Amino acid sequence: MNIHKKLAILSDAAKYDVSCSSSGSSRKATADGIGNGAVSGICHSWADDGRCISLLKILFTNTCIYDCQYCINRVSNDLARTAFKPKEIVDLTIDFYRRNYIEGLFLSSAIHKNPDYTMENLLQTVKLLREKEKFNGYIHLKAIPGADYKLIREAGHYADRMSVNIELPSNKSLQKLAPQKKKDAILAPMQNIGNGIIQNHADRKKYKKAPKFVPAGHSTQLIVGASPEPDLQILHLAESLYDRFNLKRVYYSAYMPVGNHGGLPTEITKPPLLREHRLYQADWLLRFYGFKADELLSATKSNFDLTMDPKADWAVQNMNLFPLEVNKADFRMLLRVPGIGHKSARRIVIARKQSKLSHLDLKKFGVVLKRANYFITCQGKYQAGIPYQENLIREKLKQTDHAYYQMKLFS
Amino acid sequence: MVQIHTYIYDGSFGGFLQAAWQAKEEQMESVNIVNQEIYRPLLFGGITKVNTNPQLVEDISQIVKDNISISVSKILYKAFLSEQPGIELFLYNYLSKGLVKGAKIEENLADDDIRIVHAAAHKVMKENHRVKGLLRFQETKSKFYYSRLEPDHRILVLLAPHFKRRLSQQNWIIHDKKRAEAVVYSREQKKWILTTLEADFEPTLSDRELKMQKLWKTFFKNISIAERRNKKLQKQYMPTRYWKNLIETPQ
Ligand code: SF4
Repeated sequence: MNIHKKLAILSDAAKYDVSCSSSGSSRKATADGIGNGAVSGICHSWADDGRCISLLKILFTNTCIYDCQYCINRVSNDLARTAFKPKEIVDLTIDFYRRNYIEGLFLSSAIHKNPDYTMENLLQTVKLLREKEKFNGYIHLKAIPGADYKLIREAGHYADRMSVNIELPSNKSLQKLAPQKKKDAILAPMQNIGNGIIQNHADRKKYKKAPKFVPAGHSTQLIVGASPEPDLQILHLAESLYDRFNLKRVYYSAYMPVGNHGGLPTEITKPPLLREHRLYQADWLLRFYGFKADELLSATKSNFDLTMDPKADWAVQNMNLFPLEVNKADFRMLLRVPGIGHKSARRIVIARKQSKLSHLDLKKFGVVLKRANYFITCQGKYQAGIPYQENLIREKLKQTDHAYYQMKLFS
Repeated sequence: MVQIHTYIYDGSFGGFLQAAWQAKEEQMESVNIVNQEIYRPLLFGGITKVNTNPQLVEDISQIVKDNISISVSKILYKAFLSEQPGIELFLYNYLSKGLVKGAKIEENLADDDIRIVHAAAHKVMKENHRVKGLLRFQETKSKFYYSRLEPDHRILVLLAPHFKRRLSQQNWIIHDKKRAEAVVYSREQKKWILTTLEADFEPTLSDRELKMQKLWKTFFKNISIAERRNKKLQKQYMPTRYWKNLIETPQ
């Protein structure tokens, strides 16, 4: 099969992995090499689905021995199968990189023959890239569950990021929809990689020259909507992954019907994009805004309100904490106001040392007043234009979020 | 009526700095600083044409770094590259206030002069970051990698160091067609220079290049998920004015 055909098949098969981040690598250029890392990541294009293209995202092969029912590559699915040779991937990566199409490579694979064989192929490819081609661009590599950890650890010295996809957010759903995958086989490499990263940080403090291990961190992906878990359960899982496995990112992927197999929801015809969007917003609140999953959701309300973002939803349920005087409130609370982000909160804290701030100043700092107004005062002035009542404010916030949603998610 | 005194500089950042400095020293009540390329004579007011003196420029920028801060001197430079009409006056005001208040001036975000300069610098850096991704090199028959741009701001000098680090083993040219200039990098000398290059310059591409472009187009098409098609989001991140210099064809 020619390279063109292979690329068509193996990029098509890789597109369901939503991660495309190229951030977190500070890998330096070398005199005889090609490429370097850009810590904040760089998007090189945006596909017709609006997702950023940063990496050459491909599978090594789409031939699989497993039969995960939510997956297009499952053994029982009738489709064209092929595999790259390591050299072909290396050449494509270098040629694309020279033309500035990409930041690097995202290499994943279906399970061909067995996990070790598959992982060996991935390892060989990244080794060629780093050692023979002296490639210093970004590499995101899948760790194959069930493969010998020695192979994974070695690969971790070449990759910037690694990931193992959990896919289904509970053991029960895994058993039902991916019976050959064992929960422990998935979690074990994640735990090992997480520990390896922590260990490596400590080593590198002592010996500057110790080789880096997965320096841009590791991540995973959860499919939303293929199984019945509510948002709270998904968010709890994400929270404990961040805490216990030292994960950098959890990605959420709205389930897309890929066949009519037993056990999968049949009522879904379109991916639940809005739900996915709410989970990303909540995940962001966990990582950067100091929220806990249990603050955002509870047993009595275990799914997010689709009509407004989780932060606004939280704020209207905690009216007793507001309105906040922006000239006095501490940074941590400012961050919790809808319409105030990290940047504007920082600007507020800096600028209020010089002079007392007004609503107009906030606007200049990038505060979204039509969302923040309900929760703040400036020098005692409340400027929301409506009484401080939950139901009224909720209605207003819905309206502003609706506009935002229309703009972001529908074309 | 207060008369405006106009200082005309050569279009370079150094030239601007020197003009601003001179205006400050001469303590004119109302000043304007204008690039000679767009200068149109006013009916009233005096003019001074500033001849850029590299040594003097060096001294002034050292004074700015010492008495305000390195960070502010960078902000001024980036904002200057925005080529936003009239930005010189805001830069001049920023500079004057900075020399009184020192490094703290940067925090004065409620002041319009400060905010407008920061916003201009921010726009420049935003485009610079965007173009680091959207720029496309094409391999020519004569074995160098060519790319063309029509950026909103004058960002070539910001892009060059990035690509020098990243692609030091290939000869490349980044061509700003709008301003008819280019940065040219030589792998032998490990150096880049800024030079003029006619807007209609078009190199001949190698055979291998056409093959690569085809592969990239295939990848671009196949990596998109049809059920999630979202043109609005795509255009929001990647404004259509950049599309014509891409290789791939968003549909
Ligand atoms: S192992 Fe991976 S590629 Fe194979 S069927 Fe399961 S999810 Fe798909």
